[in-house]
Amino acid sequence: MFQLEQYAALKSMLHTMEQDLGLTKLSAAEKAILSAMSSLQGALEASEYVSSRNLKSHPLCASLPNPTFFRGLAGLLDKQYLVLPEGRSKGVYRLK
Amino acid sequence: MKTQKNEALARTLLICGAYIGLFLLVRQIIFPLQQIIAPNTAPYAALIFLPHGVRVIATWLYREKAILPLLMVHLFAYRLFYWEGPDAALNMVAVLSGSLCVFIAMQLFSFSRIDISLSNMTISHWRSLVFLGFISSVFNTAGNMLAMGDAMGSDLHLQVIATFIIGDTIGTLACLLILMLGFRLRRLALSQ
Repeated sequence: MFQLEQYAALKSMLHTMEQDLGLTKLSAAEKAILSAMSSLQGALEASEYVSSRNLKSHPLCASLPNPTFFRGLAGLLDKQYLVLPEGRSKGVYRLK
Repeated sequence: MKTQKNEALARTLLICGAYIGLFLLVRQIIFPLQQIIAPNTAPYAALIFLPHGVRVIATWLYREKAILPLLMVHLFAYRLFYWEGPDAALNMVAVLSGSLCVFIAMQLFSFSRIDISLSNMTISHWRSLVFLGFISSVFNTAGNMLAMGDAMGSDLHLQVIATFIIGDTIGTLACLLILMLGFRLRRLALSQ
């Protein structure tokens, strides 16, 4: 768990760097979801995924309207920032 | 217990591997170029010292757990390339300052209530790490100048100090850029 927390922290920091340098064009909702995902995933085991319900209730995502939140999730899946467990099409996610 | 040992081993291998890899990159690419651009300071300090980035990132992520691997690998590299004269104590000052400088800077941040941990969502972490690289470089430079100051002419002192601080700070930024590009390429490759 400790190693995964470090990995999530590193990935989150590098995502921010990419955004700041203008290398990625993420919407505000996508950025909020990514940050929330990093913080939630850090507390999980390597095999565990974060549910969309937990993500939505994170302080960074709580204020996002539902359609914006789910559009953001779909965008991050398209851009390969997030992955789903094999055999699932929605519901639980983790950083790629 | 076994998991903790494995994690410590993985952490040590990761830190030592990254440090040695980037150190060799500096020796093979930056050092020869610097000998052309700034030959006076090249034997003492690199203009882009990438391993400082490893120190910064490792200490930010692992805190005090990064100290021992950093000490081991820095001692190894220092003994091979920079060990100067018979005075082991003086050389160890440089080794310790190199290994502990980021931890000392982080303690200073903590004392000043500057929170650069990931739980602080209000800051840009990579910018904070570059700043941490700069502040820690001051401690690193102080230790190194104490150890190597007599080995160089006094007219070089200011140039070497500047090279140390610039090299460590640019090294931290370059190390972050290398990591970011590495992760980006991996993500792009996986998406195709």
